[in-house]
Formats: sequence, C-alpha cells, structure tokens
Amino acid sequence: MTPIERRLLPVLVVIGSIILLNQGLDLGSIALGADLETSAGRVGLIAFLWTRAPVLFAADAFLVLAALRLNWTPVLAGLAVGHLLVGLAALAGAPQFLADAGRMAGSVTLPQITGFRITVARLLAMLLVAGIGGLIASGSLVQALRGGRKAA
Amino acid sequence: MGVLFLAGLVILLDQSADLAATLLSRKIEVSAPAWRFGVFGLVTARTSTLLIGDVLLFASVVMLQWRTMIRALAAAHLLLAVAGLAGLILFLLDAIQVRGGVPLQGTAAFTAAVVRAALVTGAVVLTFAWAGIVAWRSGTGTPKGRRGSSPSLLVTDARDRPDS
Repeated sequence: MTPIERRLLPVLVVIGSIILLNQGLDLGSIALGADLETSAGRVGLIAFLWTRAPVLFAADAFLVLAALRLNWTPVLAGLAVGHLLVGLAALAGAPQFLADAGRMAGSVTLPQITGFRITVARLLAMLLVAGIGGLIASGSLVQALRGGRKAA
Repeated sequence: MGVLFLAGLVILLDQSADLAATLLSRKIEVSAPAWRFGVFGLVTARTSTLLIGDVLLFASVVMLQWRTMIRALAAAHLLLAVAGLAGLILFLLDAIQVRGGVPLQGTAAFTAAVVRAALVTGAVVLTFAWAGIVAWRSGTGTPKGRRGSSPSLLVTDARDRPDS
C-alpha cells in the first residue's frame, strides 16, 4: 500500500459512514411518517428503500474496501454484524412483502397490473439479493477477520 | 482507472447541472431567507451522490499517482470546506428566521430536518478539511517522516541484509 493510500483510506471510511448516516436519517424520517399498519404503506416504504439502494450499496462498498485494505478489525467486525442483521431482516421481510403485494393486487386496475407485477418482482428480487448478499458478505468478512488474526 | 476518473467527473457534472436546472426553473431570490434555506436543503439532499462522485475522482487520481491533480483536488476540498462552513452558519441563521413562519404542528419535523442537514453538512465540512490537508501533504513530494531516509552506501539497515 502506498503512503498516499494509507493516509486517504480512513477518509473513505468516514465518507462511507456519512453517506450511510445521511441515507439512514432520510429513511428514518420517511419510515416514521409512513403508515406501517397498511399494506400500501409497507410496500411504499420498500419501494422508497429501493430508490436509495444504489447509493447505499456504493457507500457499503467504500466502507468494506477501505476496512479490508486497512485491516481495521473493529470496523470489519461491525460490518460483519451489520451485514448479517440487514441480510436476515431482508429475508424475513420478503414473505411479508409478498403477502402485502398480493393484498394490493386486488385493487390495481387492469392497465396498471403489468407495471405493478414488474415492480413487485423487482422489489422482491432486491430483498432476496440484499438478504443472500448480506449473509454471504457477513461470512466473507468473518473469514477476512480470521485471516487477519492468523496473519497477525 | 482513467474510466473511474471520468465516471466520477460525469456524476459531479450531472448532479451540478441537475441542481442548476432546478434552481433556474424557479425565481431566484438570494435576499430571501426562505429561498436560501431551500437551496441549502436541495444541495444537502444530493450530498450522498456528490460524495460518491468525489470518492471516484479521488480514488482514481491516487491510483494513477497524478500528483498535480491530487493537489488540485486538495485545494478544491479545502475551499469547499470553508464554503460549506460559511453556508452552514448562514443556513442556521436562516433556519431561525424561517422557523417563525412554520405552522405549530410542523415545528418538530422542521427542527428534525434542520438538525439532520446541519449534522450531515458539519460532517462533510470536517471530512473535506481533513481530506484536503491529507491530500495536499501527500501531493507535495515525499512524506515528512521519510525525508532523508534514502539508503546510505556506507550504513545499511539489518533488515536490508540478505542473510537476515
């Protein structure tokens, strides 16, 4: 690793954290205002989450890459736990989302049904990818932690 | 790596153009606190995407070892940190003025939005100042600690010996 990389990689960790904080606060304010008692409210929240997914994935990639390069054990451990929790939450939420979408489908008019189905399929795929990807990433981070400890 | 640099540049230009288009589509009232407050909110809402573009630029320039560009980015970040700090102070003063016109039931949401924008901007200002200083030092010749540590012809470090 070059000295410039060593100096600037911690900045990358902070920038990734700021992006996650910014998006997290935004999602939190939306979640507080959403009507989570209704199917439409819950599906709407997942759809809103999807609009933020690319930015969240990018911030996550910054954090993981920088933490791996710097071999920061506490950050790697935190990321492993975070990925495990997000993965489990996404997988646990997928059946509820599908049930909510099924309830909503009855009220969708015929010209809009194709678009609705595509959106539901996209969101379900996102939940599954986030769930499985979160678990795989968590396992890989734990392996990286073990590898780092052995090397030390 | 050059492609990464271009991608970062495209993100920054696209976001800036989008922001300019949004601002120019409405009446510009620089003297009105509500207008300035709204502009600051618009910029804050784009912080995440702008930061991604910024990271792509920085990462590619560091990987390519473009020292002049590293220094240019460092100077830009230091300037942006100062501008961000000035903007944050103005935003907080404007928020106090605008708060008077907010209906009572919306005060809590307004305060939460102001705190969030201030928190994110404060973190960005500090990070930009830090990144600017670190990048400026990195972009100017050899790092301080390594100066004068070039291998001597007479005295060799034990770690450099082939038998060690």
